[in-house]
Parts: sequence; structure tokens; C-alpha cells
Amino acid sequence: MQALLTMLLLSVIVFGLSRLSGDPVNLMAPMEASAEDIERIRASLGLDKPLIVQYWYFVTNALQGDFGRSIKWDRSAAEMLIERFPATLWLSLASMLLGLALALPVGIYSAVKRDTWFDSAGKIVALLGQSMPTFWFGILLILFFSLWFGLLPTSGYGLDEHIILPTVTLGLFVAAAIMRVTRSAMLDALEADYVRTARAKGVPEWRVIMVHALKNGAIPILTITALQAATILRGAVVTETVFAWPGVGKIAIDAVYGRDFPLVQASVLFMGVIFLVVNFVVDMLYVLLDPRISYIKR
Amino acid sequence: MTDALSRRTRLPMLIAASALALCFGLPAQAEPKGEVTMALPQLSQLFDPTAMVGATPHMDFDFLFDGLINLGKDGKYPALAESWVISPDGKQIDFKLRKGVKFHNGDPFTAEDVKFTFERLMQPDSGHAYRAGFVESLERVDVVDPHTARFVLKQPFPAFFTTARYALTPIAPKAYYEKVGKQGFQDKPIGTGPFTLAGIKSGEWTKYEASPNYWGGAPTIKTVTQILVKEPFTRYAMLERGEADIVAGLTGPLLEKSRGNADVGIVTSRYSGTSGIMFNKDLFPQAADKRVRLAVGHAINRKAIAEKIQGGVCEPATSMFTPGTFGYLDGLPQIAYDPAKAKALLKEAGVKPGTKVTFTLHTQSFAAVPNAPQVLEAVAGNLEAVGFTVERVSVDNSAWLAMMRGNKPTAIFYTPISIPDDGGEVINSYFVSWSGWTARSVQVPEYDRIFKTQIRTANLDEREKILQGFAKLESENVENVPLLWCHTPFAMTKKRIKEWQPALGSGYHTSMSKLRLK
Repeated sequence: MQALLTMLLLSVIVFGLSRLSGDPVNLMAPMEASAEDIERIRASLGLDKPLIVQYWYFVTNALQGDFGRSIKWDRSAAEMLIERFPATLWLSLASMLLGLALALPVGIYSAVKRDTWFDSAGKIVALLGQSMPTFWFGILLILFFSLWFGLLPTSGYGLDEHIILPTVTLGLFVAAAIMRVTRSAMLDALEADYVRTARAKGVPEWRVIMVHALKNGAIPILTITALQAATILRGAVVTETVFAWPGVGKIAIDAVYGRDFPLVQASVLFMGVIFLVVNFVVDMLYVLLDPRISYIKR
Repeated sequence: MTDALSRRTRLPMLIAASALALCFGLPAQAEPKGEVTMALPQLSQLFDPTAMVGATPHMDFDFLFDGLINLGKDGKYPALAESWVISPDGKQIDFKLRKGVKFHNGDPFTAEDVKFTFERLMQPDSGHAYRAGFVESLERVDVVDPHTARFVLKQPFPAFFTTARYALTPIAPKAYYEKVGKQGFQDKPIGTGPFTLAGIKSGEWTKYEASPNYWGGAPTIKTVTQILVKEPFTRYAMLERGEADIVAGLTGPLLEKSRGNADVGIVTSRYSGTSGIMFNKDLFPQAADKRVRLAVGHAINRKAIAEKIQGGVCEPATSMFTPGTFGYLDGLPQIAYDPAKAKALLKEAGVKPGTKVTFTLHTQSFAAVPNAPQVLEAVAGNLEAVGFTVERVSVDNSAWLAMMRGNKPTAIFYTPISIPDDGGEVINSYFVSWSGWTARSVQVPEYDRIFKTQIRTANLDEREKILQGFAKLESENVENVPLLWCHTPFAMTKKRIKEWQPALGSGYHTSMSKLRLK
């Protein structure tokens, strides 16, 4: 129910903001188009109707999976998004996996080796990863790995060498945030009484860290991971544009600039649904990780 | 520099197939081979020529279709029309059509297709961007015989031959279009052009394949792929790594870097854009004084902007007409960069230092002015240097168009035109009293008279003289301060490409059928 309400609210916001951002007819009509021509184009797109009527059409059609035709590309907006979803999905998954693969070991080890050179190095990497703008980092990667070393392609799509640079761009950004939270969650856990007790009982140190501390520190790590899933979607907009990666983000940004309402609305709602699904999965994982959490009313 | 067709059409009203047309019509000897990849900042995938939304679709029309007239590196040339006869009163044009031309599906091209195309685009619901211009002049198209199409006009239509938006109208296949419908045509377009559509991913790339039976001779390359790559640095990197053979939309440091690369050549669509600076006299009444407008002209360092910001792809303009514009007048004086003189003129006109003016900063570039944001910021800086307090109003394309269409330009604003090939159209955009783009700030009765006279003057020689008269008059009045003439730059790899020259006066017509690989 909450999810449905969120989607409804999102649809209102997307619809409202896209209308506030400007008129696509201005972009479509040539300079010398008469007021009559402009009105004709507006009518052909249904933009001459009252906003509430436009919104009603939008919602009722969207419920049937019809988001209209892209103004700029003259194709079904839903079809275009479905066509692009795999590209965004692969990039997001690869970035998340890379992010976790970097962040968890470094974050955990930084906490274990607190205030050592490793911890300091980890902090610097996290700081850099969080502060570097994604587009700038992506361009740097192209400069180094495509132009200077000639190792990887600059752009394009494929689950081969093409995915490496966009994945690193997004993955490092994700890793930085997770790394920071992992470190602090582990620091808290490692100082807890149950850890001291486990150590006193002679439990091996690796088990103390990976089982006793990590399991208890997992909730904030999971939360930040879920938040980073949203960050990935946001970052994909920029990363996909820099690397000409044919995903949902790239077409969304193009649609925004072109005031391509159907495509903007469809892509934002699409991302909204993905975000809700990710949140739902995380909520379920909370229950698995912490038996004290329950969503069933007793 | 006015294009080839315009020069040819002046003396005789009867135009026969010329050496130029023959030159373009020579069949190529070799089979098409090789691939060319273009990385572009914009892509058009709207294929219906009867619903053309503006100049951008010429990016794909240029591959798939021909007009009665085409555009090449030397200008316009007869294509599907071999010749034409204009009646003495200028109200009838008989086009003799090229025989033996076939659409990509094998259907023959006839006068029925010409009639279908023009009459369909004039339908109220066609959505064709330039419909109004056709409706104003064209009554109907008659099929005299399969190879003769007659334009029956309401009034002489000389601009048809000199204006890309009319002359280059791509011809659609009647039988096929009616069979598959509008949507079917968008999905699988065919024309008589040098390439066929070989593949498409909406919003990403388009692939064209050479049509071996093209009437003008098969292209020398087998396939051309246009890829949409928004990020300029990525496009540049693609070129340097050999992932793309041609790259468009490079400006500033990246263009300089390309120039410094021995393996990269820069070619341009010459005179594809023009621009000037104008005044909203409601917001800035002092601009009614010619001295103020002239002062703004002297304040702007066009040469530095053209060289430092535009990397030499633009040059200081002497008028809104470029040397590629029909009606261009050679030898007009350039307003020199002279800030001291600008200050003196402003003082003389009573404009106090610190006078506040609003100025448009366009955050996106038109083909008319590459690097527009930086150029306009430089102009704003120049205005501040002579004493204005400039309030910048930042707008993207949509907001800019809304602002201009709403007749609410800033106090000082820029006036870009892409494909400025016809002087009459330039006057219509920015100089007539009813222009919707100038906040009605230009009220010169003589300009209105000139516009109305030239549009009905069928004799191109006479029409050119009228337009040149306007250019001279405007050079004295300075209603518009000429800014830059621009040439759309393309960077290409010299490792693979032996010879290529895009069309004159339009950054959208790439003439890929003439490209030769090594």
C-alpha cells in the first residue's frame, strides 16, 4: 500500500515537474512557426488539454503499460526503456559487486587495524571516491586507460571489456560510501561486550570479526548498500552519458534536455519502481539479519 | 560564394542539366566497401520527410532521400529534377524529372511521388516544420506526365530554389508510403537516396548501407554508422583510438588538440551558421539610438572570440548574410573592435557607465554558433568592459525558444541562424516589423518593403540585387550588430579517410556518399 502511494506521489511529482520545466513544442517547432502551427503541434501531442486531463490520461495509460511515444524518437517510451533496462541492470550489478568487493574487506580491515597506515589510506580512498564528480572520474579513466595506455575501449556496450571503465567509475563511488560505514559499524561492534566475551572464551579472532562483529554491524552496512543502489541509478545517468552506455540513464538525460515528456515520465517512474523494489528487498533482509525486526503486527 | 545553383539559375529561366549536375551524376566505378563510424553530439531518427520537424532530420534525410534539388560541397545542384522552366509570370514551374531513378524497393520514381510529397506536407495535420511557407506560395502540384511535375503557384516562389528548407525537400515514395502508412514508413523508410537504412537502435545509433543502384553512382563506402555520444571528450577519445572515423561537435581545447594531431584532419561545413546581436528596445530604449548599437559593435572583440574560443571555426561577420547566403554583398565594412570608441559613443548618446542591461546566456549550442555559452559569456564580458552592468539570463534551448517566441528577449540578445542560405529568410527572421523574434524592435518600413518585393521577384538576378540593397542599408542602420560566421567543424581520421567534404552552408548535410577511404 505504501509502495502504491509512493508511486502515485512520484507520478504527480514527475508529471508536474516535467510540465514546469518547459514546453517541448518550442523545441519541435521551427523558428518561423506561426502561433497556429505551434497550437497544432501542441494539440497533436495532447498538450492543449487541461493539466488534470493530461494527468488522468498519463496515469490510466501508464497503468496499462502505455507511456506514450517518445516525441524525439517516435517510438514507444515503454519499449525503449525495456530495451535499455538490461544495460543499466548489468552496469548497476557490476558496480555494486565491485563496490562491495572493495568496500567490505577494506572497511573491515580498517576497523580492525584502526589508526594504522592502512586505516589512513582507506580513509583517503573513501574521501576521494566520495568527492570526485562521477563524470570527471570517468573522463580521467578514459584518458588513462583508453588514450594513454590503450588498454580499454572508450565507450560502447558489451559485457566484455566495454563494461570495465563504467563499472570502475560507478563502483568506486559506491565503494567509498560503503567503506566508510563498514568501518564505523565494525568499530562499534568490535568494542561491544559480546565481542569481548567471545574473545575471552577463546573464539578465534577471524571468527570474532567475521561472525560475531560483522553480523551485528551488518544492519547499517545493508542500509548504506541499499542507499547506494539509488546512488548507482543516479550515477548511471552521468556514467552512461560519458561512456555512451545505452542504458536508461542515458536516454533519460537526453529526454530531459529534449523535453521529451513521455520518455522523462516513463524513465523516472521506471527508476522509482526499481528503487522501491530494492528497498523492499532490503527490508526483508533486515528481518533475516535481525530477528528483533518484524513487519507483522502482533 | 553564393551556391552553384543560384548562380546558374539567374540568367536563363530554362535550366538544363548542367556540367555540375553531370559531375554529381557520374557513376562511381568501384563497388562500395569499407565502414565509416561517426560519433555525433546529436542524432535524428525521424524519417518521414512529409512530417519534417526542422533542419536536424537532414542528418538522416541526406542518406535516404533526394530532393528535386540536393546540397553538396559546392552548394545546391539539380537532383531528381534535371531541369525546370519557370513561366514568365513566375506562377508556374515545370520540373523535368530524372528518368530511370528507382526507390530502394525497386518502385520507379515519377511525378506522382513529387505531387504526393508536396501535397501531403501541406496538409494541416502533416506536422511539417516549413508547411506555412509552402502553403503561402504553392497552390498544388500537377502531374503533366510521369516525368514532368508542375508547381501551380499562388505567387512567385523564388525562395524555393535558394532556401534549403524548400529546395531540399526529400521526395517520399507515394505507393510505398500509402501502403505502409505513416508509422510503417517511420519504421522502414525508403527513398531514392545513396544509402538504405540497415539498422537502428532508437536514441543510440543508426546504420546506413550503400545503395548499389543509386542514380548518382553508388557511394564508395559500404556502411556508415552514426552513434550518439554526448560527451565531447569521449568523442575525441573515440577518434584518437580509431573507434570513430568522424567526430562532430568538437570546440575549444579539444578542437585545438585535434588540430595538433597529425593523424586528424579538420573539415568544415562552410558558412553553416551566422549570428548577430540585437536589442529589445522596450527594455533598453537607448538602443533606438544608432550610436548605442554601434558602440556595442565596437565593444565586441569578434576576432579574439573566433580565434580563442571558437578555435578558428568562426570568423568575424560583416553582416547577417554570409558569403554563402543568396543576396550576400561583398565588401561591407566590419565594425572594428575599439572599446575606447565604444565608450565615447555611449557617452555621446547619454548612456551612463553602470547602465544595467539584461543579456541572454544560452547554455546549449546551436549549429549556428558552436560553443555558444562561452561565446556569449565573452560578449557579456566585452559589454561590461565598456561600462554596462550586465545581468546574465541563462536559458537552455527550450527556455530560449520560449523566451524568443514569447517576444520577451533580454535587453541585448543574440540572433543565431543555422543554414543561412537565403537572404529573404534572414530578413524574415530578424528584420521585418512583424518578426516574432525581436520583440518588434525593428520597425524600418523600408525593410518590410524590401522583404515583400523580393519574395515576389521571380527573376533571381533582380532578387539578388534587392537583397544586396538590404544588406547595404542594414550595414548603415546597424539594427543588428553582426557577430560571427561559423563553419561546422568535423574532425576525421586521416589514417583511413582519403577525401571528404561536407556540404556548403549546412552542418546537417554530410554528403557521405562522396567520402573516399584510403
